[in-house]
Amino acid sequence: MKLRMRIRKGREVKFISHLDMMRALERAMRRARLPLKFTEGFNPRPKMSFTPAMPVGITSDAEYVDVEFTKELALEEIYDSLNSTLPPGIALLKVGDAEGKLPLSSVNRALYTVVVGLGGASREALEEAIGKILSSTEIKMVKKSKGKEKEVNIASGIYGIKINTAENDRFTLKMELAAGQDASVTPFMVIDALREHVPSLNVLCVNKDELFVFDRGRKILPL
Amino acid sequence: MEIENILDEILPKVSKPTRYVGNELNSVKKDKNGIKVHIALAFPDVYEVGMSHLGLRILYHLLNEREDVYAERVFAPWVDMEDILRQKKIPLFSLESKTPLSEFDMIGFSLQYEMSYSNVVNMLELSGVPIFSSERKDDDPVVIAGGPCAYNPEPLAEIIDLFVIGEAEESILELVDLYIDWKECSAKRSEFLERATQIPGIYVPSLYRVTYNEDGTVREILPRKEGVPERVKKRFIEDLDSVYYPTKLIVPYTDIVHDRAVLEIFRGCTRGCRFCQAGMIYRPVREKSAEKLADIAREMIDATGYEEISLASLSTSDYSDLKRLVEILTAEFKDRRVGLSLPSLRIDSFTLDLARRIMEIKKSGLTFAPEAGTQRLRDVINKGVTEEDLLNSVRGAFEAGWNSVKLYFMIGLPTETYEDLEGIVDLAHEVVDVYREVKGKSKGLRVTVSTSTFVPKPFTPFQWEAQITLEEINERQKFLKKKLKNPHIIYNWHDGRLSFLEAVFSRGDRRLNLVLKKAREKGCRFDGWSDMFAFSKWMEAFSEAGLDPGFYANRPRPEGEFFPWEVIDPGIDRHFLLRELKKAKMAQPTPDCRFDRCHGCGIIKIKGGIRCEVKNED
Repeated sequence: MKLRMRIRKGREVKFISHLDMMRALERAMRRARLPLKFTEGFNPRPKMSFTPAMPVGITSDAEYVDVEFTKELALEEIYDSLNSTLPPGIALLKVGDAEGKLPLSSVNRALYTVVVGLGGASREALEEAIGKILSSTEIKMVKKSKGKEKEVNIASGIYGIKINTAENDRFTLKMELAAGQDASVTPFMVIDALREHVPSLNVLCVNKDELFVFDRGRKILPL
Repeated sequence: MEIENILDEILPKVSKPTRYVGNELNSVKKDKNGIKVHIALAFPDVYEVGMSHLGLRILYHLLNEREDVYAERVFAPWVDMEDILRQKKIPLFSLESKTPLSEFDMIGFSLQYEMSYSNVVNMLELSGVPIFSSERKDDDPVVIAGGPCAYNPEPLAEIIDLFVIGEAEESILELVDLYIDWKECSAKRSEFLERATQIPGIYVPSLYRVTYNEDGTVREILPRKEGVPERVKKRFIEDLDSVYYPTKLIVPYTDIVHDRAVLEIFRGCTRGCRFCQAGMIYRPVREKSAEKLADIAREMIDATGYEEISLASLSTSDYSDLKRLVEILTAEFKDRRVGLSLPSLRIDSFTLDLARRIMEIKKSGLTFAPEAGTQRLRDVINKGVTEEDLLNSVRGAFEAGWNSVKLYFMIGLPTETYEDLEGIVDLAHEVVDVYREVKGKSKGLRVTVSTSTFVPKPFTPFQWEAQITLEEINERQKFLKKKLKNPHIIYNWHDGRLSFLEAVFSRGDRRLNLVLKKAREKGCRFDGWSDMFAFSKWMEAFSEAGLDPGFYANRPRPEGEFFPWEVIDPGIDRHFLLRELKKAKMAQPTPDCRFDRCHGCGIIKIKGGIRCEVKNED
């Protein structure tokens, strides 16, 4: 059976890498004695596929993984046994049949909650900076990957930024950003762009709330 | 909580932040108020190296089994993290509760490698704990150390308060009991240290006086007080089947060096390789039963979910029930896709059958350690392996589908000539030829030849021998580099300067404590990491301390010289070691006493262990 799981990556594990997360999940499944299906060949790997990697330092309620089992099991049973073997900070939020669903590779957007400190700047300054970013057609960022630096334009990958709540100097923002295989904008890039206008801005925490496919005006959740 | 909050801010700025987070599965969290002894198990290298070490894991879980003890881990922060700690004046803290090290009752260092000593000093410095034992106050932590390097404690004797010699599963608990007793009725650390000498296997260097001869050699090391033992006997566990072994191992998130379930199958080795310290100090041989091991393996995989089990010992193929053990484990874990790896296999007893069995699950690399290039030199070092053995095993491996092998050698072994180096070259090329014979071509083959430089170690027959000079190390490596030019052969060598320093500290004396302090002041740390190693700073430290490193590394010792490490008694007779040295010089092998007669190494006087007591002595 092919299953889709929605996983939480909590504060305790927010610094672990994508690869670490995959390994942790595989080991938890072995502890739970779940009947993982393996690839054939020289170096068998469990049949698991994940949504794209995100930068470390972010907590998430929307990590998805597809996994294949060799036997049919009740969903509640999988939910209970895996949750009892997952390490602190990682939790299975939901599990369902993956058949007939959109492939995980088609996700293209994510919604984030970003808590920032203004560092003394005013609400107006923040609002103005957000306005500027949303209206720009070109925001150049230097992206580092595998030691190489590349200049990218992130403007087309920013779909929305709004102030959700505010408490003294602490502001909670919601950001809707590109998060797919082709284009991806991280909240840290947007913060860097905001800092161009509000230099005192600092990030307190970032959480990925939702990951979805945006298709012709519709949001489709993977599960 | 304080440090925890600062971490959120600094961790995004360092490489591999997971090193400092903790929270792994099976790591232990306790309420600090509910305990009597708080111990920091300190490993003087990065997380990935320290977490790969079995001893640390055993002690961690063993200590935490006790409700009145909380053992936490701490590793050497990598240089980027160290910079931030120093800059922000954050003291070195434990991984579990993020408690500053200076607040612990004890800090216990694991000494696996001489070149980690600068990290020991650096970690104390980062903790704000005085570097020298004599400068510590009553409320400072007691700094203890153990591990193989503790068999020559003298280079750290002014830094470490107390050494735990030998296998620590019993003595560490006795020490904890003493600490609780002492804390209830006294606050003077000197009293604790003095009482600790009554526990067998505990060496408190401040209670011993060292005197020197005019030529700079040590005359004697004697207790300063009555009742303090003249020589400290190593501790060892008599019955491995009943000793504590952890199964709920911590499962790290980040990829560590040895990230698998480790199954310790036995301790000790009677092969008697003359360069090998482990083969001498860990005697007698003691095995765990195959049944017990299968139980442990099952519990371990259930508790960790690891995808690989690795058998650990000094020489896997000497385990007397290996075939059955491998059968049990492969049958048990095949369906759960848990692989098995057998490191430290001896090439003479490596069987094709075993190799095939392991292959059924997973392929792992094959490593052979002939150690020397000619039969003559292998007889000198008593490595009972022939060229035929090696080539047969390699052939078997190639036939079974492997196409890459690693060959380990040492250069600079006593009596080595360029003929012996030629032997290394020939052997490597013969392995290539065997592959060609088996496969009809050499495409896809990779033979990795690695050489390290021989370091004479305490309590081995070669403890009297000189290391070859640095110039000579370089010459011999250059020779091999030139001769090992073949598209299928990769040659790796160890930095000779590192082996030189290792030789200094492995047979060093108490005067080296000052060198360590000076080297640390000059910024030395992570010496084992080639990009951090600053040889010239070490040389400056020696010259400022007025000491010649060559005195320790390159000086042959006369038979009668007293050695600084002889304050420790590993249970092996000096006469035996000397006899072995003489046989080495005549290239005379000494067969394994498990299959031959007793050679009188002295361990027979110790209770427990297997085999040799039923045979006649030499």
